Amino acid sequence: MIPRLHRSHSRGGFTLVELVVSLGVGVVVMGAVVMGGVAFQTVFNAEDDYYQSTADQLRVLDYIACDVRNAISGTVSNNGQTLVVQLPDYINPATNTPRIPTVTPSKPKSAGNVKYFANAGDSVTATYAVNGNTVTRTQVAIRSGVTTTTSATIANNVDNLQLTDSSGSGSTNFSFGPLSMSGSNGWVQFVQITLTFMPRFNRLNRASARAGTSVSETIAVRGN
Amino acid sequence: MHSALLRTSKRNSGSTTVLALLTVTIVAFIGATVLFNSATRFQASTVVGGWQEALSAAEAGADIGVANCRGTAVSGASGYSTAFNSANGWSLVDPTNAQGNNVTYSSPLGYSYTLPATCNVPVMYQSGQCSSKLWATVTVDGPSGLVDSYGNQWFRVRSTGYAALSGFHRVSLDTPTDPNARHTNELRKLSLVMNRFTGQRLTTPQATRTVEVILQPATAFGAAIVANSSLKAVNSGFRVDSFDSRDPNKSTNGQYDPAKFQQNGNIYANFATPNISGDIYGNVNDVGGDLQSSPNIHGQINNNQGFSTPPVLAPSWSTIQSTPGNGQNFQTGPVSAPLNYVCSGSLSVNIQAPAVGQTGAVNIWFTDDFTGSVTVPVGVICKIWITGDMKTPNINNMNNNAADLQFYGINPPNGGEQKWETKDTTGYYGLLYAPAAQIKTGAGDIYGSIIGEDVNIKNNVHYDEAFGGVGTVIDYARASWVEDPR
Repeated sequence: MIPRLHRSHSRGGFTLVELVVSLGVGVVVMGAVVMGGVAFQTVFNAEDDYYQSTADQLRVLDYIACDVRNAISGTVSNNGQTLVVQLPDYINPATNTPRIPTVTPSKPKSAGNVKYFANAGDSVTATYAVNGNTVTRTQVAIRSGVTTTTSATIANNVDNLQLTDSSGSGSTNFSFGPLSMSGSNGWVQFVQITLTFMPRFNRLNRASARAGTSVSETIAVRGN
Repeated sequence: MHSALLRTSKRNSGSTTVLALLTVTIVAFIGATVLFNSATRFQASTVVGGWQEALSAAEAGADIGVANCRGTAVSGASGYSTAFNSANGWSLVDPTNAQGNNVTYSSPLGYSYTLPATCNVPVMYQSGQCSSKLWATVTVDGPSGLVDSYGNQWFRVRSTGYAALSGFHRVSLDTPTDPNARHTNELRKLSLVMNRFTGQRLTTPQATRTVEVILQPATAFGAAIVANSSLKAVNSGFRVDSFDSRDPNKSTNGQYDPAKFQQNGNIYANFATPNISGDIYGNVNDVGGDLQSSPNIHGQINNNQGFSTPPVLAPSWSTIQSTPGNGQNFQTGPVSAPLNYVCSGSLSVNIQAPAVGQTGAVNIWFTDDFTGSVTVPVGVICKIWITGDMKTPNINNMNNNAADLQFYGINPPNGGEQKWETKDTTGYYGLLYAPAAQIKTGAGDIYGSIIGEDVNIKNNVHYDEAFGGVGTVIDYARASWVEDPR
């Protein structure tokens, strides 16, 4: 028993060299852990920002695509920065049910063949515009002379919104719909939506760390 | 000392265990956080994909509905011998007609069908996409409000597409109370726990999207000239244009005015090489041809666009009047209930004029060749079916409205061809639909529409755009498309 106690006493402390080495190793390990954690967090933030940007872009594209598909007609102006679409008043807000449209015989795809409005002067208009770094959707509904306006910001951090006539002309100021079908075969017209977001993640606050991402979608105009 | 050593050893062992547990807890927490963040973002992304795929399913269902509507008028358009066939999954929405909304329609192809009808589109399975399976339900009906001024029924096709969603019942990362929320949930409406329309509990979360397509009837006289096999229009100064008898800016007193002509005098050649010259103020379409732009063609050229010309069937009238004798006139009934005549021989068509300000209508079927003249008094709508050939010396439509005089050539059996010739020299307002006839016109202008197998035109054709709804329904075309935002 006594020899064991002696050996135990001999391992009861560390030499200065051991302490320095162990502290040094400990600092390096802890530093690596901290730096790794910071890097991990940074990467996660970057990925999350990228995800958020992509999700925002898809949402804006889906908003515009829905309205372009439903549009009776539309106009792109301000060099592709502003979109105004005339929409059918499909749902009766009083009953929350679809309307039965009135129909007027004319050749197929003529303007005004099918109308979902209750009164002659009714209209529903949606406007998409870039205001600063946001995209807003403003809907103005006129029913029986009563105007209802709703506005919503559907994306921020936007760098650019670009709408283009992708039916062949490539114009950024154009109209679409039955009154102005300009597709190559006279029946189909396409609107291309390109949306660019500013980079949300700027390491060390360098604005030019990377260019903003762009996504595009091309919509076939149904031409109600 | 021995006991002290043992105590020291136990303390060291305990610290190690605590440290190990702490480390495992921290690592597990980090892992769980990473997993949670990844899973929620993945979930939100797949929901977006499923929502978009539901539209594809809805449009697939709408296509099936549209194909079946077309199948009532165009042979083979539905892919089956008859449209809305129960053998293909169609059933009545209200089998007992408890709501009293069931309507039975007569197909131009000779059978009947009843609407509203619905069909469940079989489940489409897929892998590697956002949703593992898609399906749709399509309903077709013809509400009474969708009957146009010509009495033609328009159809409504409503299709709901479904995409099964996997994972959590989560819509997005948007929090409605967050001032920075971007209204994702207002755009992409999902049924996660309950069906948001019926209130029924769901076993699987779903993305559902509904589209509504309105189909309008395309009638026989939708173009100025349609030829199935050959078209010859090469006379010097030949001209095809249009006017609109309903619009005083495009006509004068409902008649063609050269000073107000329009450019919708469209020509369809259901073959490759139409032989035309002169000024065409409208689109020229052929099937598989190589027409090039020309200064004389003032509309668009489409080398892959035909025009459906379904056959004309023999009339099946339940009440038939006695054939008028020599010196007697055909009588008319109300426009909603015309009098019907079945004649043989070569009578001339002389019709008793209704009282001033009154209207009337008469249907006449010549079961063999027709060689008489035709006079249509003011206020009368006359439709003539001809089984055999036609050679008429004179046509006088006193209404000056082509919709009031319509000729139909009943398709001969076994693919035979009729021979029709209008020898009129002064021009007339009339519509000719004889998809199996060799048609040769006289020297006068025609203010109407000509549809035939082989068409030889010697004069100008002025198409009335008001004919868009006149005549037999030969097809259905999409008039509108709208998505239900609810």
